[in-house]
Amino acid sequence: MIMLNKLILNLPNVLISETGTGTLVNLIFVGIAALIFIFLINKGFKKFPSSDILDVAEFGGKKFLKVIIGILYILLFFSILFIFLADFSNLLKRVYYQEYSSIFIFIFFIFGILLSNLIGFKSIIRMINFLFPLVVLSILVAFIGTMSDFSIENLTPIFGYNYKTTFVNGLLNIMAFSFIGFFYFLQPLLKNPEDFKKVNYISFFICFALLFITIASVLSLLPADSISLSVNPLYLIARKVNFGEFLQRLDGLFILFWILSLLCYLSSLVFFISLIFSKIANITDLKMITYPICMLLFGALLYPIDIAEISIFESTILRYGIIAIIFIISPIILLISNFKFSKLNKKGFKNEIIKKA
Amino acid sequence: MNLFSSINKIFSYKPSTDYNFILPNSNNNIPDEKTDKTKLYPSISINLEYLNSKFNLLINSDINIRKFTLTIRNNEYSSALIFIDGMVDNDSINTSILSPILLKNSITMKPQVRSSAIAKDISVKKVKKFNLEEFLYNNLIPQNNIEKATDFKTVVEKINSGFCILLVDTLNIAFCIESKNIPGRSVDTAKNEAVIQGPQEAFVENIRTNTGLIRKIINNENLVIENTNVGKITNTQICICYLSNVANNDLVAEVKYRINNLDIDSLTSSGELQQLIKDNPNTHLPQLLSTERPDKACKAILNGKVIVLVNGSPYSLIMPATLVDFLESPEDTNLNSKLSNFSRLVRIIALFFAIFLPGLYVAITNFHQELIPTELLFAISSSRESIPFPVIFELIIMEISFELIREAGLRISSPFSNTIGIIGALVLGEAAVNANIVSPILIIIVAFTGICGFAIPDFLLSYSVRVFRFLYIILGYIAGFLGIAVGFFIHFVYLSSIKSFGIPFFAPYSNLAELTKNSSYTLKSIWKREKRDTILNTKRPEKEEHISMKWKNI
Repeated sequence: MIMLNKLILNLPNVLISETGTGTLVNLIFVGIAALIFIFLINKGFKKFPSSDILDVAEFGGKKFLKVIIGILYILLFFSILFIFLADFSNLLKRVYYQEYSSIFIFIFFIFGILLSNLIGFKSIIRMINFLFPLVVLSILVAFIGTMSDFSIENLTPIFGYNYKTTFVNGLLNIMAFSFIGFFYFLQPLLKNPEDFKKVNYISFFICFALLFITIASVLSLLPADSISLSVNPLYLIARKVNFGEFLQRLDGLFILFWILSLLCYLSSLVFFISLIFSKIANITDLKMITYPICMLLFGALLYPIDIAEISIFESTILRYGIIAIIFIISPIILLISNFKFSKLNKKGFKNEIIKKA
Repeated sequence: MNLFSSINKIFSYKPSTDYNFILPNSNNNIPDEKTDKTKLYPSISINLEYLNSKFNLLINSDINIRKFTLTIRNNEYSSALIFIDGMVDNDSINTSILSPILLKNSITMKPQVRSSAIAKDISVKKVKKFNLEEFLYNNLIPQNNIEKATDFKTVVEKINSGFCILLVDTLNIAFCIESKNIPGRSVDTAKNEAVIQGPQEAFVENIRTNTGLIRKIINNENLVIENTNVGKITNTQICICYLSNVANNDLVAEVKYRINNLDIDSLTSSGELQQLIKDNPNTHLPQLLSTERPDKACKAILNGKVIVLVNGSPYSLIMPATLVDFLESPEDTNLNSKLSNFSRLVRIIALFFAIFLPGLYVAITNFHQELIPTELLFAISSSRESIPFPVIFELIIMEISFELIREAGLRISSPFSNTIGIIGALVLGEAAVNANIVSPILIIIVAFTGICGFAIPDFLLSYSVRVFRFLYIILGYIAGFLGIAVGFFIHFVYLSSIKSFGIPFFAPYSNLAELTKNSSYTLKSIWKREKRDTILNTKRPEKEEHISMKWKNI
């Protein structure tokens, strides 16, 4: 679901702007890299069943590391929350609500996020279960509906600008798999923590397939050079969908699904922020944290920001932030904690031998 | 003089002649009836005096006391029958109670011989000591249901529930003889849940008739019908029905726990009970299924659910219930599964349109006009050309009119309800269009929404949909699809949080793992319905053999 929302928003543009027509090859390349990371995460958590990255960090570097990593994740999730909401609200304002203030749109979203979090995370999960097939269907319909306009020439050259851009600079596109960040907190929330590995791999393959389809259709429809950061690609595809004379502008309906999908995603983000905050501050009532988070978010959204600034923020600071926290710092913490765990186990084993002797 | 008297009339004090009744505070010193465990006395006069005061016999007109003298073994005992006129069968009292006691008792007066011996031509018989209570119970009252009561509380309860009480002097017990004949209607056809194929009988107000209807369908000794009473004043009888070898024990215990822990004065219908025992009492949605059809109730029992019957109410409550249950019709299982699934799909579409159509119409016409094909857009705008009101105003006027017609149709007697329908639908609709108050397309929208509302099988679900339709109209007007989406999101998340006896309202769709098992909205072919709903965790998960139609394989 998280990935789906990124598709709905600006992710395909960000990727295409970096690697051009080579994005599909690049996606396979970074996909393999992400798969390796998932494998490492699964291995890293093997010795820490029912724990999240905060527990692992506490084990590896005491409370200090737990608080540091918690704050980093809060900042990361809050930035994503802010960027997504500002970005999508901007899209809605430009397309349907030109006469209204952005605050009008923000209020609706924040109200939805707040109430859903007060009701409970389980209910949000149920909503996601219900919505997921609908959103996937909307993307597939958009793909099938625009098939007649596809142009294979737009996909060439398949390796993009050059090998260096596709495989070296393009490595930054691993941020497309930023949903891996949620895997670090997933284990204690699962009904059966043994399913952790399975859940991670299944999520990855579904997301990879959808991302591949979306980028393939965007590239087939529009020349890579004409795709700008400020225009939402999936919306552009949706506008081109037509089935006969009667069903010509289905983008409005797709927007309805995407609003729901985004609400699910943002509510989940608020839940994760509350969860991390409650863990580092030892607060038991998660719901009480929802109010200040929503108020803070609303306050941040009041700061005037335009779409170009959002895109730049997303393609630079947020991209590096995601790579640093999710793909560098967190695996290092996992590594340190595993090393410490093995060391302690060995010591314990030696002590046992000495005692026996 | 005249002037003086008129001045006097104006200024003099006149006591108010208006009748002005004010309800004073009542005295709250009511004796606690729960703790009243007074035992019956051996003296009938004291017992009658007690009952006299208990039933306010000086002012109460329908409590009858028939006093008579019972002659047994040449001893005379003062006796009395106490019953409520109108609740008992007079013939039964005459033939099965009074006749044997007063007439037969002289014939059966031979002493019971315990042992006999003959010695020297002298016959010695040891006669059993005479026991009046035993004699009356075994020899004189030819009734199938007699209970002995030793305290006044039981006696009073039995009188209230239509029993006839026999008091005999010297005995400190009372015989509670069943002779009920409570007036009520006989079993009739189901009026609110009609089906074409399938049984036509419906529950009635008499609880014993209803339990009989259930037993008629489920001929099994594992069908348990437990009795309990609710209401300190009404003492309403409630029956909890389930299959002991199928239903989950915890579910049964939870139902009993909730019902037995109701501290209320009165309970007059199953609708009241539903509100008292549902998981989220504040929610508008029904969380228990209500049915007037014994076959539907029995299907639920066979599936592992629990049924509750309330005396005086022709509706049974089925628990737990999910959204899927509210969209099922009793007809479904009588038809081929393909036909049933088509009907179910139609109902889902009806539910969607009944909630969202007016809201979507407002949203599209105000915010998302590009969704409408150009020709249709022209048609809509030309039909609205002469309408002076905004869409929201038109729509709310029409929706409220529709609700009024529906409400009026329910309240007035049936011969007039058709007339109301015709006046409402044709005359008002036509007149409103001609008067340029509403556009014709709006009439279509409102009428279609109304029809969709009627297609929802459950009345309570349909009602809550009607209420929420207004909310979506307002949200659609304020913010178009954004408003509807946010409203739907909050609504859905809230509905996902509610449960019915531990089962999520959206089950099995709330859990993908559950969905992959056997529970789903679509109906399988009858020979493939091998398992009961997994969400119910029944004791007997299998409903039929893997190959149920064995005749095919022979």
